[in-house]
Amino acid sequence: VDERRALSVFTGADEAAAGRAFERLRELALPTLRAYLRRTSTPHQEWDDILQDAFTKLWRSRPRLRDQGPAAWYALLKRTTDQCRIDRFRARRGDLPTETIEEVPDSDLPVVEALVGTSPEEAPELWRCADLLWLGLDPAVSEETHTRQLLAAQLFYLEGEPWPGVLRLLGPGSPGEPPLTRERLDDWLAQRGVLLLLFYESLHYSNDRLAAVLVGLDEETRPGELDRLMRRATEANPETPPGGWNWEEVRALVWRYRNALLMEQIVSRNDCALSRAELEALFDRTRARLPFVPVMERLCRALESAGVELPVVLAAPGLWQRLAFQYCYADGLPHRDIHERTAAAAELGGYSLTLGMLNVWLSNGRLIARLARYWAAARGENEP
Amino acid sequence: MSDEPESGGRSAEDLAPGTVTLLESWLISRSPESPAADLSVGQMVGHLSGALPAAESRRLVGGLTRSPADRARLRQVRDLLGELQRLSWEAVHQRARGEGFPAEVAREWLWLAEESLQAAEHAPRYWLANGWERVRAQLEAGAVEARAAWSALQAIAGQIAGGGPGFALARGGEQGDPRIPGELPANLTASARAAEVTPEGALHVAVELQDAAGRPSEAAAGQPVRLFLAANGLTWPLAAGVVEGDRAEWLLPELGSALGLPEGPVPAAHFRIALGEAPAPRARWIEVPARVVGDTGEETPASEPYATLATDPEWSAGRLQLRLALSAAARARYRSYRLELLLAVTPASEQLLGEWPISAWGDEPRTLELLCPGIPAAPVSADAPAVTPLLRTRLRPGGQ
Repeated sequence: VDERRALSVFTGADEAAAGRAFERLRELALPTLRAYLRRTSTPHQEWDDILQDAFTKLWRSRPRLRDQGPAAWYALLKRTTDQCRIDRFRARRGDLPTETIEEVPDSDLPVVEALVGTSPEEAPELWRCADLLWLGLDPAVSEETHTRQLLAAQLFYLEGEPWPGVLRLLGPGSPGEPPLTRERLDDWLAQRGVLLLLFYESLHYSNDRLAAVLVGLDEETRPGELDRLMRRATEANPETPPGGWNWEEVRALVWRYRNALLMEQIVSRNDCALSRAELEALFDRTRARLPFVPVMERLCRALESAGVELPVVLAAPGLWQRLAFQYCYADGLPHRDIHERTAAAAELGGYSLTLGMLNVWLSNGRLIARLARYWAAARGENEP
Repeated sequence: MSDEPESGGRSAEDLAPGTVTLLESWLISRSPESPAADLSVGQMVGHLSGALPAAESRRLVGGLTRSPADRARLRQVRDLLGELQRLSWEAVHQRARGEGFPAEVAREWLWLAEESLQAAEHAPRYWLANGWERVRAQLEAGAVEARAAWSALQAIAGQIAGGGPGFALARGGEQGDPRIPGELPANLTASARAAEVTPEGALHVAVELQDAAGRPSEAAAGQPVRLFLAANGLTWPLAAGVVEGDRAEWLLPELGSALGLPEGPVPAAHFRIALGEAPAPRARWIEVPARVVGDTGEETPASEPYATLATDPEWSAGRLQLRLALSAAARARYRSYRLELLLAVTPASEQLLGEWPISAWGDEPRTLELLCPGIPAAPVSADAPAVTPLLRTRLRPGGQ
């Protein structure tokens, strides 16, 4: 049952059905509310209590609620969670909270509606829309073909595979379909959207991937291996840590780059043995190991030697907006970290990406609003 | 270069901070994961051969885009597979018994080839039982019987589409003759009222049954009837149906375009029909598709039939035996070439079975025998020679 249907039942007269619908609404909303509590730096151990309070409150207020759609529901969820969070804060500290609740104004509800009405099953398509919007991929082409185009570009530009080899490695495709020809492959490899997708996939480092590289593991290290590394780092063991670090440094790097903790959060951890000065020195050294500039240089060299006019490809900010969107809304990074992962590469591409610019894109929700409009149009709905 | 102001107040389009944090949290909770793909050698061999189910192939390609190491491994598999396809079957078998990565690739390739051969035996019956539309769905799902059937049918259609009317009809009938040969009672003949690839790519065949005087006849009304595609001695059962009055008609959506047949009429001589349980019409000769390798390594379809099977090949006890004739034109033009006999393992991949200098041929067919250990016995089915359509020949310079 999707949220729209569940909301309608939840606010209806049948209490038993409303109870079941409420469970479904809770199940669908919990991941968002947990992400929200993380975003507000609420201590992890308080999350369950706060959410329990919030849902109890919502169930009690059911007789007064009207179904106004998913956007209004999410605005209410946020407000109720904020109230419960502040109540707990007040109870613990015994004083008045300094924090005020940031409301979702009615004027923003159309944008919220365009996104939160998306079911979990539709969510991958929303992220694909981000590629279409900012990288300029052809929306008439299937996701499967875009993936094949990306593979072709990786093989041809990054790995120097000649075109017959690219055709062979892409495989013969579905039976009954016309085979991929050199002409079609040439067309793929010249498309600006495909080139930007190549840049994007090469330059985006998820938190796991970046942490693995920085601690000296293979870029394709599985998340489970990072977990094992952290267990080894906390046990007293005689093994040599990877990357020339000591175990304390490995732990700090994983906290910083995998868990996206800020320096202040790491310093305040009881299990961190490094001082602020030591951490600062460590993160300064790590900055020199960030892979983004070498990757960008390699990409630029490969494409220029193949005759691609880079200024034409990289003229618009779409690539950097797509990266900022991913780092902010998928990887959960603060703006300063996003800047650290994008600005130097953007500079090499001829785009000046300042922290102020990132703030405009992200703090004011401009990228979100743009995607919401694009998403609504792609689904044939009225634009928010 | 920048497109928006760095600072300043909010624009009317901006969202309130509360909205931004809510949507940020919602997006984070809905961000898709890209789990590691864990690509196996078997999947890579299947991918390069066109044998993977469509969904698995999509997953594999996605995984390759995320992993330079897997891309490097795919290249290794491609190179090893290329080597294997140029070895004899016996040598592939030998390599598969070894150790290490090359042996693993050889085992996966042999598995695919043996599976295809086993499936080929049942492929004609499978096609008739399921019909084109279900076979098409099962091709997407990677069903081996569907793959074997499609390889065989493609070989026949390829001769129609690529051979040109003079070639394809050389022993089949006259251009424009509407008669469809078949297994029919003595007093009945079949005439095509339609035999075409429609603008939508469907294969459309309508047959009228006629008596000895050429008048429409309902003598076979209500009887089961099968339609075959035929070229150069090979036939394939396209569809089954029932005679309604004096007619039988088939419309096979998108089959014509999927087989690469051009829009427009298809000569009636490329079809056969059989009434009731009569076996498929058999030709006394079967021409094996041939390609010629040029000086620079490019391959082009032969311009006329070169290689003719005098008997159906026999596969048994790890041996392949067949009698193959080469035309005088081929012997004269390609005297310094050698003939390679290939097996279509999938519609997109082949295995060399054996090779011989063309100069070894005279006017008579030669009996060829190959060691093919592990190959299943593949009897000829009643409806169509099952494995024969999977055979190909290639003429390559350097036979002396």
